[in-house]
Amino acid sequence: MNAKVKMVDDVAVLTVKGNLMGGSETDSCHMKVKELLEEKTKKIVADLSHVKWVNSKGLGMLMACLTSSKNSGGVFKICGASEKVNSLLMITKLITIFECFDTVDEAVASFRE
Amino acid sequence: MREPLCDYMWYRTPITGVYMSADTPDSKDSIKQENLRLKRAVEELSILNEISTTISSTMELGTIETLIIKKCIKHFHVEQAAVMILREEASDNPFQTMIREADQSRVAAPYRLDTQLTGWMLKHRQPLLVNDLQTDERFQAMPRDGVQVKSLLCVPLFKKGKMMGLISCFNKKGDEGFSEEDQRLLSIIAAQSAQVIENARLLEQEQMLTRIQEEHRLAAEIQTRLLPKAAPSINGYDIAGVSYPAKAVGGDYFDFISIDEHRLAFCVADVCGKGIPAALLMSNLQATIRTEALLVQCPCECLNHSNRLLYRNTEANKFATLFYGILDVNEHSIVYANAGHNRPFIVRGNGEHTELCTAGIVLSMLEQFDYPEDTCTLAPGEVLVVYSDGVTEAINELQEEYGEERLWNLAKRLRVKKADDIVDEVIKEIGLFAGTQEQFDDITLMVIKRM
Repeated sequence: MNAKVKMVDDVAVLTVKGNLMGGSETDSCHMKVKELLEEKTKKIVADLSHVKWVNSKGLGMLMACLTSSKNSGGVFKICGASEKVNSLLMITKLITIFECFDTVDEAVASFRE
Repeated sequence: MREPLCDYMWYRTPITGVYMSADTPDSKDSIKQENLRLKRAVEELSILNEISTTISSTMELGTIETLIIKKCIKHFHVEQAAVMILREEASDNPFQTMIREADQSRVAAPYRLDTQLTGWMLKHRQPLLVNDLQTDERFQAMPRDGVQVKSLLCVPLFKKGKMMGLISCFNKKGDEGFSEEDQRLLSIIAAQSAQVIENARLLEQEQMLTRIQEEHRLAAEIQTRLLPKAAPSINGYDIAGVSYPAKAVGGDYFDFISIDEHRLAFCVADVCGKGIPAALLMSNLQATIRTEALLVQCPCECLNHSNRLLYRNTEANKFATLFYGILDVNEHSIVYANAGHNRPFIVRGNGEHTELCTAGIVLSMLEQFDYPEDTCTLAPGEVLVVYSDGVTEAINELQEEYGEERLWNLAKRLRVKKADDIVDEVIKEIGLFAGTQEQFDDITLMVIKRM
């Protein structure tokens, strides 16, 4: 399990580590988000600052997290995306549907606005 | 449980003894007794021989199990026998495969073997002989419905010290019940059978794998046929395209669709993931694009429609990137729309490159999306390069990516060559760059050059 959860008030911060390339860590991240949603945690931030590589499977997983959250009335945001991850989000234009922040603090604070 | 070999040795000694003592008979009774034992011993040896010959003559798991069961029913004079094979992956019901054979003359309905028995066997890993089950304290809660189990004999099957299943016999006919000799013989049968059953199991697995590999091969063949066999030949243009999947089948594809005499639609797409799931989605996408290309006039509409269709047919984590363009050979223009695909680029006459930046979101993410459209032109000698991320994300031994910069520079150097040669050289270069690193993603490349 490479996804650890830390609660900041009512916001769950999911620290994702390793590569999001379709391996087990890719699945475990979405599983964790689904668990959180089932436990009625509706505000979720995925911290990607420790993620080195993302491929199409990884993007698919992030999209699945976003969709699962929306369907359960939750909000899924991401932060700390590296330059590489960011450029992938730019090319695929997924940047337009994800709420992206530079840091965890900014992402958490955005829920209070 | 005793070692089977020891069992057998122990069992032979008295036979030799009987033979020796026959020279000096003490009494008629003892000879009679010895002869009876001898007869039984011969019988047992012949049943063992029979079983080992028949089960080794077949390699089919089901047949082997049935043969063992039939021989057990016949030899032990029981109403029913069963071979159960333990499946390691199933934790809730460890005994998944149950093959039971009943002697139809005595039993109408098959037994529902209680989990108590299998549980006891798993725990104790030793032969179990019960001649009066109704009063046996270990099995007080056996089901009372259906056919009653009165007596049972059960021995475990071992594979390298690990319990892999069991053989059981139920309800010995007549009144005598199961004997110690029965138990010993069934143990020997079990020891003989275990390896044969294991071999058959391994063979079955291998055959299944071969079948799957064959299906993969067929899928790859079908997919290869879906790709254009040759690039279209158009006056004044030189066109080439290739796609190399990382596995036997892949999620990348490229296509050429002739719209009318002077317009050619073309596309390069990358479906997320690899292997069969990606290939299935890819063929769906291709069919959609081929239909839409002929129905609508502009790339943006083609993508708008295809996106909606795909969105309805796929899960949330499935998507595809697609670059779609229409080349007009009269105008020397390309109208294009891009659904989150790597930006294609044009190598200009002066050696500079222009990226085609106009793009929308990947396909199948949002139900409704209006894709922007743009136009570019090709002057004589200029080359359009469309590629999938397998090209730029090829990784070398130092874990470095090939990257766009290298691709741009390479295309600049190659731009004077023929389209086919440009494609070949780029693919070769990627291979050299990756070195011993395995191809991780599908690689697709298309080159359109104005002569």
